[in-house]
Amino acid sequence: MTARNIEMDRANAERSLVALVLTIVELLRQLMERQAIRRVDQGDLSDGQIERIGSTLMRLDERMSELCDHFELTRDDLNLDLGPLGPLLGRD
Amino acid sequence: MSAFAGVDVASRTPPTHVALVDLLDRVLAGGVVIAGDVTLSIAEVELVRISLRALVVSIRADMAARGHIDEELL
Amino acid sequence: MYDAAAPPLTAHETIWVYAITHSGDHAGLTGLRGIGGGQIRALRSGPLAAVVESVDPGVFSAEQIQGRLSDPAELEAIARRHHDVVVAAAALGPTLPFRLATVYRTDDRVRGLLDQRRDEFCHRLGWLTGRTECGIKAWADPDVLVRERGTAEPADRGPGGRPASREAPGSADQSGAAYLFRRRAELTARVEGQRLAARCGDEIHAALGRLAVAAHRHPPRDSRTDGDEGVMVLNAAYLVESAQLAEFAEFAQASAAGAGALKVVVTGPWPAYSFADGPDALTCPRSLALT
Repeated sequence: MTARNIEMDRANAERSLVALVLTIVELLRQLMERQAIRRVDQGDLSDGQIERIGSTLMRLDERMSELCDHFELTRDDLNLDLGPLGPLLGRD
Repeated sequence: MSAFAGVDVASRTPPTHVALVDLLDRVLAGGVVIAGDVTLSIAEVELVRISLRALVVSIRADMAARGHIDEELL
Repeated sequence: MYDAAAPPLTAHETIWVYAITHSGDHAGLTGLRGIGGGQIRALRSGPLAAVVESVDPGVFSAEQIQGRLSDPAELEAIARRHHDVVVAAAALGPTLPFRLATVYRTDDRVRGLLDQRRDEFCHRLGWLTGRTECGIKAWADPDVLVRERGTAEPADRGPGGRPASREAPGSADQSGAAYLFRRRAELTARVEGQRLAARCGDEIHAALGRLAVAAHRHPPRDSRTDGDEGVMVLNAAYLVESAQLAEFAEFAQASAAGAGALKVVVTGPWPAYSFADGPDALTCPRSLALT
């Protein structure tokens, strides 16, 4: 194994790790978003709360996109295939 | 609607390319199940899981090698 | 784990069983080689025959079989060769295909199987006579279904196909509330898309099931390698009268189109793997006998 190959493997391993971490973050982001939407549907949030929560989630989403760009990952890369259960993060 | 695709059943030409996934759906999960003299039934469940997982891994690796998909985390 | 009644491990042979047929002319199998490279032969007892191959027990022990079937390349080779033998048998007459990796220690043990379950196997072979298995897979685009058949607002898609809420700033109302409401609409549309996709599959299956002798539906395979045709909504096998196979394939295409599917693939004809349990397997969740 050449030194260059070892470097590329290390880079791939890092990228895989980053992808895994971002996948988890994305999962949490989506869960929070769904929870917020549920609260909106239930009608127990004030307009001010909706605006604040919405803004926060929107910024979180933008931040995710920035992180993905930074690590040269697409949002589709952040998905774990659970076999018969389908992809972890569903399709978007 | 996109064109009908598949084996030409009308003329009964022998299947020249049977898709592996379709085949495995049948030979691994179909067919008469008999215990035989060597019971693989417990192993059979393992077998299918291991085999399907190995199959998924191999298909992914193959497609990645051909540049069809990005390297993915498995 | 070994059957207590089986001969001891010093037996010289391992018999790999491919299928059961009527006892009769199996000349068509002469010269055919099996998964172990051995000669395919027909083992007869009474009105039935088992299509078998003697393999080397040193090479096909339980552990080795399991090991080989866990390796994708070996699994493929064995599966294809097993299938080729089953197809050859099916070309000669009604055939009950066996699942991969059914092995016996001696010819007599195989004959014993044929004798013990003679009536059952004859019954199943009778049911399969003149009939063929045909596979139907169908795909649909949930977004298209929502647009054409749904009640929800279809998700706004930006040029990249991504939800509008994620498009560049300035393309839509940037308030937090607007974002949340957009996301809600998108998720609602997505859920409805999934519901309509499932309904599409169900509709096709119901239509085909009315025509077929029997049907067996697999859970749809969820795979991102499916490409542009959307999600798989149906993955099923149907037992049809062999003479009506072409007609059935055409009907499948028409039904699928009518139900909103974008793509249909018909596979077959297959030996009746999915219907090997026979018409009385109603307690078995795999198959549903409809006539």
